[in-house]
This record gives sequence, structure tokens and C-alpha cells, in this order.
Amino acid sequence: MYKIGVVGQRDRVMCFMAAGFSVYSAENAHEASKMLTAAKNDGCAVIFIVPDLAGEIAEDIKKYASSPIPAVIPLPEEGGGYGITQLKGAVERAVGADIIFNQK
Amino acid sequence: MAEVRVNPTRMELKKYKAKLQTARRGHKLLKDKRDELMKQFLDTVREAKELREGLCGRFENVYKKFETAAALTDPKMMTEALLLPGSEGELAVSEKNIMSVYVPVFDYKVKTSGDMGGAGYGYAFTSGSLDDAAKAITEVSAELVRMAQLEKTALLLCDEIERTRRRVNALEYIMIPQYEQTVKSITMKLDENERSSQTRLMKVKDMMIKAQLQAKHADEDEENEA
Repeated sequence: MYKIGVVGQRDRVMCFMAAGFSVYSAENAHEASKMLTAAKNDGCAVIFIVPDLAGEIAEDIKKYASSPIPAVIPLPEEGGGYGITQLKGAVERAVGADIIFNQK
Repeated sequence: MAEVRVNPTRMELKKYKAKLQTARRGHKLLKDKRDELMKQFLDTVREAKELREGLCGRFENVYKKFETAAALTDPKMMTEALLLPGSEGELAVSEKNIMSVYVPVFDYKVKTSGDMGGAGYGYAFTSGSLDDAAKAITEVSAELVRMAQLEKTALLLCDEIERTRRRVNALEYIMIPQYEQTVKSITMKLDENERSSQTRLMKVKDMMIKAQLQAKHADEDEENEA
């Protein structure tokens, strides 16, 4: 059985404990990068990360991009955030132009 | 397009014709693969986008509820209450193969434990808003996992599309024209050789006929003189 991890500032991610997720608190990019590795080693198949930290440790997240697990996914945030940026980048890379996120 | 330098022999011609045929077949297959991957990718991205946008609003709500709960509850009690989760999810992971790309499938089941209506803590020292918040977050957790699955799938497909497109382009614009050029140049060289040997033969034949005619004329002249 796999676990679900959440990496982020303590105040923001503590609430996920209520849903049974494993919480890894990190206040800055350096800690977040360490916690990401820790979460992966703990057997988390899905690791959610707060969007601002995700943007800062994009390089570390890329390390896990080619394998099916762990899935490192930025948490949803009002106004899009890093999650939307990531998807937008993927569409641009795959299609050549953003044909999904600019239809407004 | 720079052609490959090869010996203009029938053997090489046969080899390059076979290579060209394989390249064309590979190109067609890869093109089909790219189109199918693209279709799957766009469907996944559209769904992920909708899910994420839907969750954005709901998440703000969850955060607000938790902030209220945190403000009303003693921080220590709050941590203590959350240490034992009121609900737990079981996450099973399997893999699915989409056009030879292995993508994860997360099977997430929420089960509430505890004998007090789903909460794993006592109600005495916590505020009622914490119950609301815990309930709200449990409700969104399954959708959150589904979003993670879709986004991971999209990212994996994106990498594969990029790779496939590169290969399709390499075949279409580099390999196939190169082989075509090589086949053409070998064919031309062979034809040229054939023509030159034919001309040579004709020339030799002409010379032989001429020599025979001359010999014949010489014999006739001798007979006339006699």
C-alpha cells in the first residue's frame, strides 16, 4: 500500500493530516528538496507540493518526471499557480503552441 | 541533401532499397503513434485542467475553514487532534500502457475510522470548525488523487510525444530523402555503366563488320585482277 505525501509550509499543509496524508513540513526551497527525497524514500506514490515551493525546486521535481511514480504534483491554487504553468508548458512542448489554456 | 558515398553495385542498391522501405514503414507507424498519443494527451490535459480549476475554488474554502479552526483551537491541541487522522485513504497503484508509455493508475479509497462519527479526536478541546474542515478536506482528497493521476499521465505522454515527433521528423526529413538520393545515384551510375558497355559493344561490332567488308572487297579485287 502506498502513501500520499504533502510537502509545504507547516501552516498550509497541516490540514492534510486530517485526510490521512503524510505531511512533510518545509519552510524553504532547500528543506523542500530534502523533504521531497524523504517522501519518495518513505514510499509515497503521490507527493503534493505547495505551488510556490514547487516553482523553486522545479529541477528536483524534474528528476522524477520520467518514472510513473512518484507523481510530484503542485497543489491547486487560486489563479492557477505552478500547476497550471506546468500543464501549459507540457501542452506547448507537445503541440508546439498552447491551444488549451489560452482559449478564454 | 548530402548523399551517402557507396559503391555503385547491385548489392548496395538492393541494400539501400530495403533500408528505404523499412524507413518508410517506420515513418508511417511512428506518425500514427504520434497522432494517437496527441489525441490521448489532449483529452487528458483537458480533463486535468477542468479538475484543477474546479479544485482551486474548493481548496480556498478548505484553507479558510482550517484557518478558522486554527484560530479557535489551541495550536497544541490542534496538532494532537490531527495526529490521529479521522479518515484514511488506501492508495493502490497499478500501471497502464498507453501506446507503450507506462502511466500510473491510482486507486484511492477513502475509509473513515474512529468510533466518534469519523473524527479521530475528542471533541472536548477542539472547535466545531475543525470537524467541518476535516470533513471538507476528506471530500476533496479523492479528486486530488485523480488530478494527480491525470497530470502525471499528461506529463509522461508529453515527453513521449516530443520523442516520437523528433523521430518522425528525422525519418521524414533526413533518413528517407538520404536513402532516396542514394538509391537514385546508384541507379544512375549502373544505367550509365550499362549504356557505356552497350556502346562499346556496338562500336566493336561496327569495327568487325568494317574489317570483314574490307577483307571481302580485297578478295573481290584480287579475283577481278586475275
